[in-house]
Amino acid sequence: MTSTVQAIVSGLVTGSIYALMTVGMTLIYGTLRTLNMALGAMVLVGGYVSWMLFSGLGWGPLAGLVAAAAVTFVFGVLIQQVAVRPLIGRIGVDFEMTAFISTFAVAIVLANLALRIYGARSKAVPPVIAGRLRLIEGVSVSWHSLVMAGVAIAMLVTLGIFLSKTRYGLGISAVAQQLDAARLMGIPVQRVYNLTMGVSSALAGIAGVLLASVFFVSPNAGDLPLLKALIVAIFGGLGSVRGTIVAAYIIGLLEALISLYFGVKWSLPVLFLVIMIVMLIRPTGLFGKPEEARL
Amino acid sequence: MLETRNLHASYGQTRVLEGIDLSVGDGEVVIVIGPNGHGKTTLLRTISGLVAPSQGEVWFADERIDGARPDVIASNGLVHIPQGDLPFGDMTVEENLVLGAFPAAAWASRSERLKDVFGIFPALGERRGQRARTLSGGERRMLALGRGLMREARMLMIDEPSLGLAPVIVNEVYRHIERIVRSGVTLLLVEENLSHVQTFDARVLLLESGRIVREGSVAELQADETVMATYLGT
Amino acid sequence: MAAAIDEARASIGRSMGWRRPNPFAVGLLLLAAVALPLVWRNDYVIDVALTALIWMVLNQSWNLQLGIGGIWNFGQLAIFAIGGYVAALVSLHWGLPPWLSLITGGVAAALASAVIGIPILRLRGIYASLLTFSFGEVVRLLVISDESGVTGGSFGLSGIPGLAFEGLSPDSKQRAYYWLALVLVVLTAVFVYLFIHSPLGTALKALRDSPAYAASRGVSPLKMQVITFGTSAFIAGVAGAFYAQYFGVISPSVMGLGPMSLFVAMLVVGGLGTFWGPMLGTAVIMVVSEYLRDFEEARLIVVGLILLVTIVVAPRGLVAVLQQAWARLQRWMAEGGSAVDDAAPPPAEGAAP
Repeated sequence: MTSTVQAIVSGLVTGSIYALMTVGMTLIYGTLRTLNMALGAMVLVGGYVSWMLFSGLGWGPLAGLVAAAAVTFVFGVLIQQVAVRPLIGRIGVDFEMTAFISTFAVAIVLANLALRIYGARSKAVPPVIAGRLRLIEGVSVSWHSLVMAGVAIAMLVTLGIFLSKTRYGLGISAVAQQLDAARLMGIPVQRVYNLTMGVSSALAGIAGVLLASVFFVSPNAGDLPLLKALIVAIFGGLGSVRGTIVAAYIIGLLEALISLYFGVKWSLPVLFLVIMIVMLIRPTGLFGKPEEARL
Repeated sequence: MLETRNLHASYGQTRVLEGIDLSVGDGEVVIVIGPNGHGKTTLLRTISGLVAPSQGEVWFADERIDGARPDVIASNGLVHIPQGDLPFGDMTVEENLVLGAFPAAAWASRSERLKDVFGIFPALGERRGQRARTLSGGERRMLALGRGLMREARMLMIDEPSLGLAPVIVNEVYRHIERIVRSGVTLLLVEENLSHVQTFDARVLLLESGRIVREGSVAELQADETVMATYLGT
Repeated sequence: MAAAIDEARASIGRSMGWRRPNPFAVGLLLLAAVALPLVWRNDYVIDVALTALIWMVLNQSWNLQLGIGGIWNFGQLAIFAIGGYVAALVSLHWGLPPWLSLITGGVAAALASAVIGIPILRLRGIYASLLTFSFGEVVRLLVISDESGVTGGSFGLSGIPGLAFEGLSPDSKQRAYYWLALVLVVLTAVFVYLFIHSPLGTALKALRDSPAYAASRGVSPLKMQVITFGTSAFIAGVAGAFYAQYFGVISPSVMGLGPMSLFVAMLVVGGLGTFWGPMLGTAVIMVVSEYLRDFEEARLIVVGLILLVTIVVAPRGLVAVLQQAWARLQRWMAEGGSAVDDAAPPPAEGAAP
């Protein structure tokens, strides 16, 4: 019983991080109709920024959070300008596929640059708050995990407010739902694309800082988060921000429970099996919409 | 206010507009009629920058705007209410309207404008929290009109406001359009035929196969039986 | 707008018949390839060329899905690895004749592809890519964390007996492998060539370039894609089996993002969906990669940059660029050296789907 509760607690924590990663995917898919395979590399960049601030200046992870968000935002805009924008609207070229590959290329370059600059050895970053909190008898959670979940949830709430209340936030949803109408309203589409890439990348960068003290920072630190984000994305269906968040928590919980009952080794394969079954029943994921996915 | 010179546009190999010269004076109402599929919608989309012209010029308020980005043109006060309304389906009525005030100048006064629009279209006010995709056809048309009224329009372009609506609803929509016209706005209106605009004091252009083939007042074209029979089949 | 793009794409599709290669040039190329290990007697060079040949087979098989079939499979490396592992296992444990292990590897890969094929063929592009990408990663991570000893975990399997070239000197043995790999490349190429020129290939092309048109002509997407998917997996599996037999080892390091970046670069640089693209791209990237072999970390940076630049500047790859240049040259010569007419570039062969 206590172990189940423990699994649920850790599932909720990882679910928050997955949500942070995948919401960015959904935003990009919603507006640009492609996937950003460089989001994993943003986890990496966020992690290294936080490590450099810590080892070089002695700054804690919270300061790193802000810096990493800013740096990855800029990276996101650059990726949009260099790797995605030139592909938009080319006749005879499948944008979805080429942008998928070009962002993948960016991910390769960044991961190997990290390898060249920082070497293969993992870098350790301390937790935001050390120690554990005992919830009930036999169930405890590290303070850092709580901070992780807290920051992630705060970010998601902020994102929700941004999207539904602010001028450019509404602009993002408008571009996602009806591109022509958005342009006729005077919404500068390229700027919205930049913003979307920037915000998504910053969210992944923040995830990178949070994960840094759990898994250390290494050149392939972005691979697993990317994989998990992809799994959540297929499972949820890239249809809506809300759906993605729900899917992230379901996957986080499933993973924790599978690890508990079958062992960690089986968490990915069983998860994959679950997703295959979901895809057989609903080819556009749990919350995806049949024709065009919308935010 | 608006002028096009020898405007050409095409989709791939298909040429849609083949040299359109039209001008809309300040405060004037111009109605473009013509059979479906002959370029009326493309004309509006080319003017507002959604379609890049292959040749020719577009001038709006003494500025050349062909080749400009649609959002720049829209922010300059050219309001285009597109065919089929194109609502933001998963957003609420209120969010749809607020987006109509996206340009910086309009954004500041969005609450007052929202109030005005709800005054004009009370039905939208009642449904302000409802998702746009759940609206009826008539309500969607009102939403599209309302969205266009959310910012300062130096000129209004409306694409087939009668499309797909029941006659009763069309009459209601046109009551609103007539009210807008009376406020003195410059208007370029596209319709398939003259049946809804007979009371308008307007210049009419007949667009056929990408060219303007006839021009006159509503009454003149109405009286011209060959035009009505040949082009509009009435 | 969308209608216009569809139309443009359809017209590109129509003019995009895969051209018949010049038999003289092909013969010459083949002759050079056959003669290479006799002329350039350098173990290392032959080894690199041989590896390139294996990658060509793999890339052709992948191109069949990704480029020609329009099936977004990013799990082909896992299929390749499954072919290799199964071939290794049947030769190690069952003592199956190594030659037969090539076929076994292919069949195993085809069967494995059915597992993933059934769900992905129903999916829209982007979802298919997500599912296959994670399929590949799951297979890789499963093998790495395998402690049962069957796959050898992250160390992989070694001591695979190799194909029966007993009695040959090491040099001749390597050459025999080389020529066999060349035979596989030619067989694959002939198959792909016949495939894309068959009614099946035409239907597939139509399906890729204009789904609505294809559907109206009664092309069944599912049947086409199942056939493409299965044969492609079979070829990849044979390539994997050959790899395992030649190198004597197979490990999870053939999968993952690093190798995948190399193979994606090969396909895209050469030209997705073209007949020559996978072969040309493999050769180019292998050469680049060999020049940088002393700078292991820089290697993938450079390959990644090449991939990025190619897809942004010439998304249809080198083959399309070369063909355009060739057509322009011909026109220039036909016009007796007068001004080159840039107004109407000729329709290029092959396009990313």
